[in-house]
Amino acid sequence: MKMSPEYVKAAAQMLPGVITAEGFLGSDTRPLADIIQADEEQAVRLGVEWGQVARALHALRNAGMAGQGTTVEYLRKWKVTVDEARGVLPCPFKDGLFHKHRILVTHKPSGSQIIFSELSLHLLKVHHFLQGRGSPFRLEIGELKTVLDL
Amino acid sequence: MSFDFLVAPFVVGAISSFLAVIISIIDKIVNNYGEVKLSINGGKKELTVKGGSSLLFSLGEQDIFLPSACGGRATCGVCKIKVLSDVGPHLPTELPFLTKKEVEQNIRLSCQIKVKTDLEVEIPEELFAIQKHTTTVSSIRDLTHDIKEVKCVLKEPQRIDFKAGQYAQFVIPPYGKIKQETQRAYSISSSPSRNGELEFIVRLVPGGIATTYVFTILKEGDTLELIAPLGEFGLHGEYEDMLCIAGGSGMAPIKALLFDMFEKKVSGRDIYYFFGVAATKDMFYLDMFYDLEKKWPSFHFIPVIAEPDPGGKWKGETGLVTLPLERYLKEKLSQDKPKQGYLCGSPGMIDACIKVLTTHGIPEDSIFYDKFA
Repeated sequence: MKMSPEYVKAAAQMLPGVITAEGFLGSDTRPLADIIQADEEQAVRLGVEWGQVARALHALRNAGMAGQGTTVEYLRKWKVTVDEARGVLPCPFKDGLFHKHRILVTHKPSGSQIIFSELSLHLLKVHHFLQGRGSPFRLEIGELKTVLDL
Repeated sequence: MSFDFLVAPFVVGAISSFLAVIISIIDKIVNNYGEVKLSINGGKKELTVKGGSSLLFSLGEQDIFLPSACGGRATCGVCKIKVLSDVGPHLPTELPFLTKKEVEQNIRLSCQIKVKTDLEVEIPEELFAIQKHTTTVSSIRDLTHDIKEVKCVLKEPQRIDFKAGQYAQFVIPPYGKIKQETQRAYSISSSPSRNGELEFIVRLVPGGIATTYVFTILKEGDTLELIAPLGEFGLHGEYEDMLCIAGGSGMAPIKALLFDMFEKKVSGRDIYYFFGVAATKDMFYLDMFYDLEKKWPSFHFIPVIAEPDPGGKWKGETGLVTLPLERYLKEKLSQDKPKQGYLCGSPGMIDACIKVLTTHGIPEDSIFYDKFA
């Protein structure tokens, strides 16, 4: 898939050492546009809506924030721990700054876990970008479906 | 044998090379701003710099260091400067960090202003004291599983004057996949009396460029460049009781503040230090502060573990740090004496503590915390 100039610029920001040490693409060699397209197709196949995922992640994040670093139980089904560091990270698409929150969610019935950040939530919600394979904050649609009970 | 099939690729290659040379020449002409004059504070200081870099970087090249917690990436918003010349409208990257009044006064983020023509700027006099220091790492030790104490001996210049609560910027050189220099801010945790060696408390941020460097590359004996002193966090007033609240590596500026006060034999105000961590494995410096409490009657140390190990030996406060804070405010502290809050930790903890303090009548202008969170 042809990369738009916006994607070319964003992909450059996603390289290791530009915004974070590891970057956003992991070991994925696919162009950014292909990564996003593949995840969008996978979401359709699994019947997952981006807005629905973003709302669920927001709710878990908000519940976890009250714990100030400790683990909080949410609706008896999830355990959430929000770890905060000072400072903010810019979005590689240059449309916002995001606090360095790292949110660990455990789905109690299945024991499955996901980790996401304030920035990865924005990337998911606005850009449908779940990060490249091998990236520490890569979110898999299948895992999201399980952990969020969608 | 015919080589006609090579002609087309050769021609295309030649044209591409020619165009690349032309673009390179045009780039050198168009983006060559030559020498540019910077006039500071009504001409008190005149600098000649090479145009084309950011104002933050150009000033730094001339040993004038503006505060910057992110090192010029427009993510901290502290490198503000008043620009008197016309440098165009504010950029979208600047506006989130500026108040309406600051925009009207043409306060700009110096990291976002490209120096292309002569400029007139205003810089507060006290910022001229900020220097780049070459240091040698004298000690690195683990305080917890994800927090290290780092000590640096100053080599050039060999001394630094700073106020307890201020911070330094670590200049992180390129390493591994990181191709460019990075700067990150860390509060100084040692007392200003130790002006030949600085101590820092650094917590590992997963994926963090600077903390990954400190945890995996930096070792004792290495050279580390620091820009310091920076920041306005520090002691205020003389007689108010103090409620110091820190979490994790937020210990750093509070530790500097407390030991500075102890060394100066500050008396007449009670000081309560609530130090909160999530789990037993996150606690550190307990003995140091229990020892300080014994030596300093007006100092009271209240360590708090939110979720101590089950069956462990912890007999101190448990739960979120706001719980004992609230109880002390209700039951143990004098209701008559004015109080101040000194906070350092995660933004969430700071917000929660501000809520408790203001609920108990401590005005917001008596609550002090690091602004670069």
